Amino acid sequence: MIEIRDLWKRFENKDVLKGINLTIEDGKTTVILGPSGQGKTVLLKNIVGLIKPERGSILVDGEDITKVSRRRLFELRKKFAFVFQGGALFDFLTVRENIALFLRMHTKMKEEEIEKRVKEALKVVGLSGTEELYPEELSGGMKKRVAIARAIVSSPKYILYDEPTTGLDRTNAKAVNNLINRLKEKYGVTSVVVTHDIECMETVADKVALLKEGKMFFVGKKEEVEEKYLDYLYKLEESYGI
Amino acid sequence: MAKQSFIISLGNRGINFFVSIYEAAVLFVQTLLQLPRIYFYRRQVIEQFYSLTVSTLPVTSLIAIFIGLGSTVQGTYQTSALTPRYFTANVIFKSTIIELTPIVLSLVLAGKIGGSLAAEIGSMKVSEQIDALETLSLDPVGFLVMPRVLAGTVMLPVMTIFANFLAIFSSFLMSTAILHWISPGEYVSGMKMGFKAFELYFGNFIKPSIFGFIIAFSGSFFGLRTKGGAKGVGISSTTSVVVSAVLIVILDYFLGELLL
Ligand SMILES: Nc1ncnc2c1ncn2[C@@H]1O[C@H](COP(=O)(O)OP(=O)(O)OP(=O)(O)O)[C@@H](O)[C@H]1O
Ligand SMILES: [Mg+2]
Repeated sequence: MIEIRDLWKRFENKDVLKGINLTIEDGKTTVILGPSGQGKTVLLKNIVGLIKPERGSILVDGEDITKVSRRRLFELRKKFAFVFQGGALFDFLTVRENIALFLRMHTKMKEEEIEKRVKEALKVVGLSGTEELYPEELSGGMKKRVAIARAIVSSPKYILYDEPTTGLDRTNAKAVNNLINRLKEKYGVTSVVVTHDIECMETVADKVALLKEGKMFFVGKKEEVEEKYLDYLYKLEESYGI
Repeated sequence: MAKQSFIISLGNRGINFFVSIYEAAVLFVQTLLQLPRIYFYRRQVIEQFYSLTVSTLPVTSLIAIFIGLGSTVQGTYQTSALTPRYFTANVIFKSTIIELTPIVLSLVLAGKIGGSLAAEIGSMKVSEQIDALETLSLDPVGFLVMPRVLAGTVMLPVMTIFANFLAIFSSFLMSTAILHWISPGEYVSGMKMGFKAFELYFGNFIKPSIFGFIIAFSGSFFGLRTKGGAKGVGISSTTSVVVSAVLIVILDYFLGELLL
């Protein structure tokens, strides 16, 4: 379980997060919806300690990740996988090397075992046979899926997705949404999905949090969002010029 | 008004300068602290030694040959007919291996390695690959900076020694086989004249390793500081090259003053 308590973050003179409260329950998918530039990425990066907040705490299974030593932070991060907005694949490594990196660096696994895991992960995301390619040879949708393969290979407890469907066509977006659901059902992964894509929210969410002006102004079920906050959803899409 | 904002901007620049120095010092300490992790990051270290050698060998060879030729032509042209020939050979030999090769090679490699390092790390920064390393529990300083700085510091002397051999060889051939202004025996005795081991050591080990450190460190430092998209990457790359080139020229003077 991840408990975010009264989280504040400011950049220069601008408060981006102004007291975020949110509980992320194990085995469920929590979707955070919010307009562009309102701090969705910043919030997600706080959860894995990439950004330090001014105030507040983030308890990861009871341990406050905002206050641990760097060494402990590196240990705690092994519970997480982060799927970045643009994939953030290492462009000097092939698909195989990208996915294998965590296992090569942090485990004593034999090459054959690593190769097996890489193949498995690629199969899950439907990209078998792309091992030798470099990121620049992949389409946007493929990059996202390789990023997901890189995320699942370490068997993380939590996967954080930053806009997993942004920039993808409908087919690819659907594939990614289904993947998020499959990982939950098959491996019991706890996911946090940050997005402004309403269809994505509808497909994957067990719980929805609406972000506005640095605060969560609603946390609850998606059915309730669709009933009460249609206005908000329209404005959301407008903020991205959809 | 204009005057006031000029002073304020000057003040800001001053503050930024000291902040940068502080940040560089922090990165330096972080790099040192990652050195004991060399076994953990061994693949990255080996990779950097390899890629540094492969990417710089052609340009190093090319400029080494022409440094040899250039210094020979200049040396013979500038010395009068009255000076003994082996003395001219001695001047060419020493000035080439102690001064000319180390500094020219370092400046060229500052452009080549430093620029591409800053661009490489900078583009990783703006595309969140540095953050991705962190989330995979890999330290960007250990994974990227330490191997590059180590490779730069160790490999620049190796490249300099290699370049010096080539430069002297090309000078020797030019002098004895093409220009015929000196006999091979005389050239060799010129090389041996006033031979000091420390000078060789200074020109081929101390200086190049300091320059190599500066090149790789400044490339990494400006790369990690990159902000904004492709434009930011370009700025980092240019800044890194200019800063390391200026530092090399300045340090070349001070090191010479201090140690010789
Ligand atoms: N490192 C930083 N330094 C300064 N300001 C930052 C930094 N990171 C984010 N910001 C600011 O914080 C605000 C929120 O940024 P964030 O990237 O979290 O938005 P977002 O909700 O993810 O938007 P989008 O959907 O467009 O990705 C923005 O105004 C941004 O300019
Ligand atoms: Mg974002």
